[in-house]
Amino acid sequence: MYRLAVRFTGNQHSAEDLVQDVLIKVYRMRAQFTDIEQPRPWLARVLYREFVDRWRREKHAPVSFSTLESEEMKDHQETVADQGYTPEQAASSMELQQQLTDALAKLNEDQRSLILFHDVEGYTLEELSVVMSLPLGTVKSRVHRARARLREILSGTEGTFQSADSFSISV
Amino acid sequence: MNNFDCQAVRSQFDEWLDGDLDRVASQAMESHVHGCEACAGLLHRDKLLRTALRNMPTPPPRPGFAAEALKMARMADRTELKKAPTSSSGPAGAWMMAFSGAALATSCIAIALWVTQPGGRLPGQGPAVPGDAVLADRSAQLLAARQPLNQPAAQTVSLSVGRVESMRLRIDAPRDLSEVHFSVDLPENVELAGQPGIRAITWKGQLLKGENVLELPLLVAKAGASGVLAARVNWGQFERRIETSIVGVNRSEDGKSPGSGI
Repeated sequence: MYRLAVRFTGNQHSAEDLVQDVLIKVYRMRAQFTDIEQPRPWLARVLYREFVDRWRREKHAPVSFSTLESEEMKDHQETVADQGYTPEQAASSMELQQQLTDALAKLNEDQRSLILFHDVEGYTLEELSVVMSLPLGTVKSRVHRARARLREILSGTEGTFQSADSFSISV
Repeated sequence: MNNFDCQAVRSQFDEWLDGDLDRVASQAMESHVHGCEACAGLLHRDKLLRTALRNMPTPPPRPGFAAEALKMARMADRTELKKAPTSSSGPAGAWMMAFSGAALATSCIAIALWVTQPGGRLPGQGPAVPGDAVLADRSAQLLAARQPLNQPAAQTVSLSVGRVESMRLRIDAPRDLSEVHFSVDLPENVELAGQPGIRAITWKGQLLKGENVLELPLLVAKAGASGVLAARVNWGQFERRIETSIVGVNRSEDGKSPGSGI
C-alpha cells in the first residue's frame, strides 16, 4: 500500500500521509473484510480513490515525480547502486529511471495510473478492472493506449533510452 | 517480410509479452522477429521498458511508520466510536455505532427510551414501565426511568469464543434528542472488537426520532467467560439502563448454538 502511495504521490512524506488516511478509513471498515473477495484490488481502489478524491483536489502534487529527487530517493538509489552494479551501470540505471519518471509525468492521469498499477506494480488487468470499476475490455484497451503513448514520449529520447540497454537490465 | 507484416507484428507486442497470444500466434511472432532485425530491436526495447518500469525504485517508509500508522488508525477509530452517534445516521433514523457486515448480530435487546417533558406521560411501551403512568414531577420521572427495562439481567446471550459477534441495542426516541450520554460497561473477557483492554466506554451523541440502533461488535476471549454487560443512555435527568448476561461458548462452524437469549 505504501509503495503504491509513493507511486501516486511521488514522495515519501505524502505517501505516508496518504497511507495513514487510507488506513484510518480501512480500519473502520474491518468488519467487512471477510466479505471482500479480492482484498488487493479492493485496497488499491480505496487508496486510489482517496488519492483522486482528496489529494488531487488539494493539489498534492499529482504525480509530478520531481520529488523523486528527494534525499530519501537518492539514498535509495545509492543503495541500489551498491548492489553489484558498476558505477557506469548504476549511473545508466539512474539515467533510465529519470527518463521514465519524466515520461510518466507527461502522461495524462488515467494513463499514468494504468501504467503505474499494471506495469510498475504488477496489478493484473482483472485487478485493474476492480480498481478502476471498468469493464475488462476497456481496461485492456486503455492500457494498450497508455503504453503506446509512453513509447511515443520515450521515443523523443530513444537514443538515450537505448543506450541504457548497455547495463544490466535483463528479461 | 514486408512492412505490413512488421506493423501487424509490432501491434501485437503487448499481447505477446503479456502472454495473451496462443501458441500458433506466438510462434509466428517469434519466427518473424527472428528474421527481422528492426522488429527484434523494437521488441527488445519494449522488454527493456517493461523491466525498467518494474524496477522503478521507491524510497522506504520511515522506520516504525507501519506501527505508528496502525496505532493512529486505532486511535482515530476509537475517537470515531465515541463520536459516532453525532456523526452518522442511517435509514429510518437509525445510527450505527460501529461495524456491521460480516459480524452477524446474534441478539437484539430493546431499550425503549421514552422521554417526556416534566409533568408529561410516559408512553409505557417498555415492559418494566407501567403503561400510562402519570408522573407528576421530574424526580418521579427519573425514578421511573431508572427502572431497568426488559428484565435485562434475567436475559443471557451466548457469544462464540474468538469470533466477533454483534449485539444490537434498539433505542426508541419519541423525538430527536441531543446531548444524550451513552455508556457501556463490559464484563471480564469480553471486549469491543479492536479495542482490547477497554472495559468501559462513554460518549455523547444524539438520538433521532424513532428507532436508533447501537451495534456492539463483541469478542469473547475464552469459553466459559461470563458476566454482565451494562448499557446506559442518559438524557438530561432521564436514564435508561439495560443489563444482560453474556456467556462465551465454543460454537461449531455452522453457527448452530444454544439459543442466544433475546
